[in-house]
Amino acid sequence: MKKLGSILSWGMTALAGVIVLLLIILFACDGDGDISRLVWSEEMIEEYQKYPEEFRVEYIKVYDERTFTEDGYFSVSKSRYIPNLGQWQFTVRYNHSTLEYLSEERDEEMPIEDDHFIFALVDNEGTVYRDFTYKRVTEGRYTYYRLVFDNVNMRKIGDIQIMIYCLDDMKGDELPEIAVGKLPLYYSELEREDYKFEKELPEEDKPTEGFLPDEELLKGR
Amino acid sequence: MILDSKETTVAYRCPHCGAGVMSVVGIFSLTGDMIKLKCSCGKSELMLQYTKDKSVRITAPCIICPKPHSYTVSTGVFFSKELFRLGCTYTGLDICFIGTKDKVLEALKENESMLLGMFEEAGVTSLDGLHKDDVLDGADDPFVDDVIRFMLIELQDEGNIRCKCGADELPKYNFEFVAPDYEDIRVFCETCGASVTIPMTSAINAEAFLNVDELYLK
Repeated sequence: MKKLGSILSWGMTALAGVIVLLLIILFACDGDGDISRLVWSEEMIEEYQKYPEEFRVEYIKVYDERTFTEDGYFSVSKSRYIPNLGQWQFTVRYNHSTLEYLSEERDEEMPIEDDHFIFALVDNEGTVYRDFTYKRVTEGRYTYYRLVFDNVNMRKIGDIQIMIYCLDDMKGDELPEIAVGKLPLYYSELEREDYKFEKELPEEDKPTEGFLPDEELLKGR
Repeated sequence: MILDSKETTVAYRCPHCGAGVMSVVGIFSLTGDMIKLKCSCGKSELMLQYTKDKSVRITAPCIICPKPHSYTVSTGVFFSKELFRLGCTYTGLDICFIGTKDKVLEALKENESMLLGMFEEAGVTSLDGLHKDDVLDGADDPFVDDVIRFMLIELQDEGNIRCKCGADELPKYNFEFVAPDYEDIRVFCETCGASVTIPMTSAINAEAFLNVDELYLK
């Protein structure tokens, strides 16, 4: 403990230590990285260019870094709300140990490289939002889904939850009755603040690439 | 009547002295305003708060990053898991452990071994190793560039860089190493031209820069 303490305290004061730490970061990186950057659709770019002064992106600070499900197996981070479009976008993440746990519980193989989950938003009035676009990235010990839901009606809503279902539990096109995870997205008593989106403007005014419609998740079954 | 009191053990590693800081937290103490777990060195603390939606918000210092990280977990996760680890958003390294005392202690020990191994692999085997003369020249080192860029983004996000830009101008910050010795860094705004030069000639200067809260460009 003392050796570590000495190394750490010197490591934070020496420029050489800064370089060493960055090497460690690069070698050990499991971070969200680019997956959690603001997703720009053509519509969003158009809206921003037409009304740059009124365009806003909001977020809930308490939920911003990482919020977990009741059982800790899934988490959500970097939720952003774009009022001009009624759009929510956020990143769901799970550790690959989640797949091991579910695999054992469900007695089925769940390879890391496959899609296993489908998502929906549900508000306190029971409205279900099913249409979304997504991008999936696997890095280190985690798989990330950046999800974008449009046209979410926020009027008089108390709360919105992100529901996570197993694809294999679906009957045809119907969502299963039981979700494997629920995450808070919005809670009316928590303040929405302005997010400084200017540092995440679209490159060369082009939409973010690589996003697929939710139907793609159903194709793999 | 015997009350079934919920309690759990929370631990983190102090980024300043390296000590593992551990404490038992009970559900009744948590329903107050805020709990702080402070390191005996006095330079770091972990905060626990009960939120309006009945979750637990944890703000934990990070071994690697200059700023702490925040997480929100349910009371179920907080009090009922045998071991739950929270990792740094950027590196994935575990920075906080919650669970039973034995499991948390075991996890802290594993974490210490892993960190020591990583430092040694990176060439830090003794204090002398951190003061080598053949340290990479900061001006050519992309890793140092990344640290500085990261610091500027953090400060800008928090509104803690001030320059001469007006309310309707969008500041754009950049930096360069200053010739001829390339030992100082000049941080400047590409929009208004304001700048500040920061000396980086010693470990003390470097530490001061890593801990800076605000930058004023003139």
